[in-house]
Amino acid sequence: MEGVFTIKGLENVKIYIGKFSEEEPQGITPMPNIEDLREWDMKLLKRYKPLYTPLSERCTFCTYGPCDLSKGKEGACGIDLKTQQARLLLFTTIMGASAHATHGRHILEHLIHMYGRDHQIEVGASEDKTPNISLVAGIVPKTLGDLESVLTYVEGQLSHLLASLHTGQEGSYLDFESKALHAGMLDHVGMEVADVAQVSALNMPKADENAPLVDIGLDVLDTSKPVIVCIGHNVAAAYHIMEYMEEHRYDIELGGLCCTAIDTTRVDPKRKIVGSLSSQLRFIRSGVPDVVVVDEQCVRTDTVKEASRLRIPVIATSNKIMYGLRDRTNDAVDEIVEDLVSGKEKGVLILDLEKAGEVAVKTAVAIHPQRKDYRLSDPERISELVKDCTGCGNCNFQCPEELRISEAMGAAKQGDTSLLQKLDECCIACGRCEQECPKGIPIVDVIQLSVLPIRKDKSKVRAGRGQVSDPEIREEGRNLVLGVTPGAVAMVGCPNFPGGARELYEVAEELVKRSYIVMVNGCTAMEIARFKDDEGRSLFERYPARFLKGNILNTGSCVSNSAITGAVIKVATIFAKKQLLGNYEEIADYILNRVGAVGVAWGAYSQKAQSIGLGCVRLGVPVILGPHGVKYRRVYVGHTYNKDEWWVYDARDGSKVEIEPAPEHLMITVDSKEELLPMIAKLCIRPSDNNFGRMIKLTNYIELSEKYLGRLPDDWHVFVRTEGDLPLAYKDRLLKILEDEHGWKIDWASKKIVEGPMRRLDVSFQPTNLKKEGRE
Amino acid sequence: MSSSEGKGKDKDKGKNKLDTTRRAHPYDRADFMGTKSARAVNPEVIAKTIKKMKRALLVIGSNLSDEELAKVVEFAKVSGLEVVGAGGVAGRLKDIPNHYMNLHLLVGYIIEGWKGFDGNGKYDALVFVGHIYYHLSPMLRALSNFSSTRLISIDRYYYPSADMTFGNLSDEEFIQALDRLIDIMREE
Ligand code: SF4
Ligand code: SF4
Ligand code: SF4
Repeated sequence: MEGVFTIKGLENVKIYIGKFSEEEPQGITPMPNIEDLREWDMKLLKRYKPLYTPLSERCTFCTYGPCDLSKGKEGACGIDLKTQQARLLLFTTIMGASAHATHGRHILEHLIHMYGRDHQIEVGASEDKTPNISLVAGIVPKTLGDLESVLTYVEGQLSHLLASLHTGQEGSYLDFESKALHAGMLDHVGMEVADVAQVSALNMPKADENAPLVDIGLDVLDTSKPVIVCIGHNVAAAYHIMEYMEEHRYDIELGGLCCTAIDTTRVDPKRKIVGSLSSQLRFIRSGVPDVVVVDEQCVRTDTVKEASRLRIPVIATSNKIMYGLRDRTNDAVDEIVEDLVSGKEKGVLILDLEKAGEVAVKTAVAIHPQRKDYRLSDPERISELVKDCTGCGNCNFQCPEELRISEAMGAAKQGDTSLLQKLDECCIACGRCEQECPKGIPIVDVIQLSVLPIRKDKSKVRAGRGQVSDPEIREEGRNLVLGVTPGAVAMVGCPNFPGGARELYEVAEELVKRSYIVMVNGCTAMEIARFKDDEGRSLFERYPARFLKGNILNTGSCVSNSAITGAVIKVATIFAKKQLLGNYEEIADYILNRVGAVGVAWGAYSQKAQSIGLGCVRLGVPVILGPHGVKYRRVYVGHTYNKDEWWVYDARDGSKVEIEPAPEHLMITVDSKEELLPMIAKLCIRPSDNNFGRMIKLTNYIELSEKYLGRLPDDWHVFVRTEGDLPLAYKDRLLKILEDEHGWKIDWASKKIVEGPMRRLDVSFQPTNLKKEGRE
Repeated sequence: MSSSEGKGKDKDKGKNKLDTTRRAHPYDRADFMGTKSARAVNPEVIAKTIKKMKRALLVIGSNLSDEELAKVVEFAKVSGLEVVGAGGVAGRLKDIPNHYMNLHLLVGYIIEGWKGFDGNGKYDALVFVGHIYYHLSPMLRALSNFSSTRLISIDRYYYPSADMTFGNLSDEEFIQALDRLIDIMREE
């Protein structure tokens, strides 16, 4: 038995039972329990106040309810609306974190089965190969076997967190928040286990800035060959399909959807990515796949229903998604293939992944010749499909993207498909509209048919490069902390974009041109790869992939978000030489005050995206969400008018210093690209910036505000500590504004600020929120 | 993104006379109605209420065509309301004095009892127009539960958590409703 235990009466004493290769957990809070980082959370929550936006005012968790919690009322158990919102948030965060942790458990066990417990962890040129794990758990795993105890710790914590959701347990919204932050932190540990295990064992690129460029798009597959499509996030099943194809020299197209796709190309760059989550229904409805293989997370729950309409057999390969299918794990391959090809079974469950690989390949080859008639290919059919549309508008009232479907249908009835083509850019192919159409019009198909004649969805994305190496951090960490590199922006998350993906591509392009380090992965990497410049090159073809300003890095799949937090952690440990092992609070404090990193989850939809975001927040990295993010029900906003919240200790002497609001928020939504860009620039500002760094950050903040919001920001002056902070190009103009509008005293002869700033620049200022450090 | 025709059964009703109380259901049908939901009213009622307010703030969002935004600006001028561009729309607000503030932040500030852009005291009403439905609706639910500010929508959507709102309007009806509001605000 391995894990962490406490003994009654000795709750502060932890006993670690585990087989770590060299050392016992170390640090101040190794393998923290729920309460161990609570003080840090409360510091954050005091400055960054949780703001709740309930979707419902009722609670329906137990049979005392439903209870009405509106307008200050309490439920039968005594809970109020704020606390219930925080409780729901903890619930969804645990969902997200456990999805990754159990994904980690599954792939780790599978890889140990294939390669043994002693297989070495190898992720590239790094001493700290597992920054999240080492920071949280206080150990340095060396082998796959060492990762098992880490997951035991995470799983144990998640079940404690889950227990606190029961009626009559936690009663404070702040403690629910602290617990959600705990779950978010654990999520990055679970993700890192999954990612380092697969990078080490499956020979994926290891911190490789030259990771190959791979094909992406709905039109990249050669449809004259049998097509297998893998959907989900866990590459294990897809790996065995590839292995079987290679060994037996099958000429088959293997495409992927969602993060499994990204990870197949990390294993073998010949493989192709069809697209993100929002391509799932589109691609199944296209009729192109001859076999669909699903693993786990974010797979449409109606996959068997949709696929079977087009005679596409489904193979489920994980106990997370079994779809009620018959378990054929122990049956003979040929029998299973026969049942699938004949249509006797719409799908099967096969938990032996090697067998699943063989069945998928043989089924695809056998069924391919029979399936050619099922392809969606004839745009002429549109007029037939839309002719019964009554213009009732029911579809509009269902569409989560607020698309004007009925208007596009009306135009299509008149023979004009241009509005349908416009819808295609923004439609997430959720199918909600079809559910309410009284005429049963297959709206998703109609939209897709409208673009078939013009669509050329073929592009290039860089295969996930994995972690950021130590040499890269050594080269760039200093610039990031001093602000000379204006920020590291992680653009991650799902494709629930307000108004399509093009804007996100434009944001990434603007940032990379402005010398930010742009880090992407998962569905965001796939979506921005689809857009090209005039010469037909995607961002990944135009910009290099080093952890360096003006670069764009695809770290990999969802679980490679841990490579992003890992890089930020390593800035603190490598550049600032902070202790890594079990030293969460000090590292998070360093990041909050000194590392200009921001997360952007423009289209976040899932519970996983929520937990990833919270893991960033606890670590001191602000997160900006698109407008759909309001449905997560809570953000963390700073209140700048409340001056009492904006101070830190100076670690040199422990004195309290009033600071500018930096970063101003830890989580917030914005409504548009125009609002997003200046917000990114602002949230990259940190108290530690030197004057050159602050000048660069302020230049970006001011220029982006003027470009997109048509004005100087109201608050630019609060970030000015000295004339050296002012953007050179506008120095005179800004000095004049400081004098005229803010009453600052300017010495015009020397162009120096004599009086005005809330604090002066102090180059050796060491901002910290930790009193302990301040006293030293 | 944007609004709806939503004609159907109501197609022939009130063709000539503007009636903004119809289609009083959440624009996104699946959104929650709330334990108590908003009254859908005609522009006259809203105009009368706004006139009674001492310190109302007009909160404009980005989900407006140029024509619609021009009407909203006209409404701001005739009503004399203080204006905030709550989002990317700020870059399109040219002809009136206005502030920019993030919508989420504004909601947070209002709930905490913020004293306004000029520091002179709380707003007694917020008047919303031009927002993405799914973005504003939960924000209104926050405000209705955690603040006492009056919540008025002159947007094209029915917002269940406002105190006062129109029903879901077609583009044409939305423009007519804005015109009507402008006319009434002009009448003193
Ligand atoms: S499938 Fe597309 S058009 Fe239909 S509701 Fe979903 S996003 Fe809207
Ligand atoms: S719901 Fe169906 S019939 Fe009604 S407008 Fe939409 S497509 Fe046409
Ligand atoms: S809210 Fe999300 S999980 Fe629930 S039915 Fe809709 S898509 Fe599925």
